[in-house]
Amino acid sequence: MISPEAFDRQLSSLIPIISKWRLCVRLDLRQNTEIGVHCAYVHSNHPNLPDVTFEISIQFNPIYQEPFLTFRIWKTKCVDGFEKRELWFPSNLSTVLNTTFFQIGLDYMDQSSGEAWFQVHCCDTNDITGQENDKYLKRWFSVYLTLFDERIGTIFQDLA
Amino acid sequence: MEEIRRLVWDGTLNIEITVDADLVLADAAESSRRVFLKVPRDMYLVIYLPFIVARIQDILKIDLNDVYQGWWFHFGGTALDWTQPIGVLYDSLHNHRESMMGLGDSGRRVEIWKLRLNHSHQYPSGIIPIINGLRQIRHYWMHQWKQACFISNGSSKHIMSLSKQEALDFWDSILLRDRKLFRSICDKIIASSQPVKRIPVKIHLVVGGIRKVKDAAAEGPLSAQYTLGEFIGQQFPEYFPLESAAGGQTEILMQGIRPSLDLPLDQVYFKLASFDGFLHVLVKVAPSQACDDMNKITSKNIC
Repeated sequence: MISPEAFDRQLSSLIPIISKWRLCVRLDLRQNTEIGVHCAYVHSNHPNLPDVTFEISIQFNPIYQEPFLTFRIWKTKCVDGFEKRELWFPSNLSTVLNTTFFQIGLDYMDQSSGEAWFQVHCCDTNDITGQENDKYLKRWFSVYLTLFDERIGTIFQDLA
Repeated sequence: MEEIRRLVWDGTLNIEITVDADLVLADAAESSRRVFLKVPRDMYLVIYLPFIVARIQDILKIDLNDVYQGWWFHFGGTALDWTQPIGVLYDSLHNHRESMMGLGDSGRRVEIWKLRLNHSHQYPSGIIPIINGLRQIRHYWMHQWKQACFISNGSSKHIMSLSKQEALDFWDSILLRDRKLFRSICDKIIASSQPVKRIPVKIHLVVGGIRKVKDAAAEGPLSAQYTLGEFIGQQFPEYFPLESAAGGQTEILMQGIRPSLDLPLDQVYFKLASFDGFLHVLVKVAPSQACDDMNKITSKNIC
């Protein structure tokens, strides 16, 4: 578990590191009533999915007191010579992502936009990430972002 | 308590579903587009899609690979969010005040909720796509229970400790309407004999037919005297000032009834909680009262 204040503080210090992630295309901070809604657009590094981009959102979950990861998958198609981006909801996520360690469901509805997102269930986050300290979020990132990139840990090595 | 639980479990809705005219053959009779169902209030309507599609498949002009994928229900132009119990959606969108005024001398009338069924490649806003059929629906429901378990007990251990067979039996108890089996497993997840840390509540704020959902856990330790009215007053002080139990034009509904706001919240939970482990509280606000209050509700759907 992590307090909302520690979440915000640690997230702020990690954002510059995440922006150096080799797959990261764009990083936004969405001003919202929620604490720390951050969004990243990340290219897929799957060799068979060159046209896939992940939109990743990281928020604070006030009930579990944990970081909370949601994502959507965008596919770029070429239609009549124009690029068209549309949402993709694959029925078997393991063909797209490294899902081995996570419970994921297409069950998060953004109430303000009415858009559906995949969410990584955070009921077992404490077991995966361990006890809070000043590196809690770094550990969380290094575990949970392996969903998208098994080599994510390398960007945190400089912080060790 | 058991009698109220039984009444909640046995509560049903009569529904008439009409498939959209664009989806059926031109010569299909009007009556063949309709399907009539009596469904439990405490259930997801999409569970019945295989039954409904089987009734209309002979007149459909679309190719179907999956009886769940692409289908969605709507009422008066509002797409129905399948992740909420159908009774909650009915109470949100149906005008109870008007229907009560229409009762005859006997006080009895058969209500039929008329819904439309549509199918499209892309779902409308506010609908979670069904990509894995009944499996996805079961996972969603189980996930709700994990949340409810965490909120009540401070951890998900009670539900994670269920054996695989118990987890399957739990889902089957919903499909087979086996209340005894359902209750026996419920009690292992959230025991009504022990004090709960927090109470899992979903508040549905309905203003002029528009519904927004807020997950709100009543923080513990709860005193035995902590009432439903106090809880709602804390959530919506603008509609329910704590010094006044009356909510003016605002209507509170749970499981289709208007409970007394003086009831202790934990008792209300154990009597009226839904089949997903949450107490669904509908706060229906007259549009003139609402102003921009819908913006105050934000999404907190969680693990």
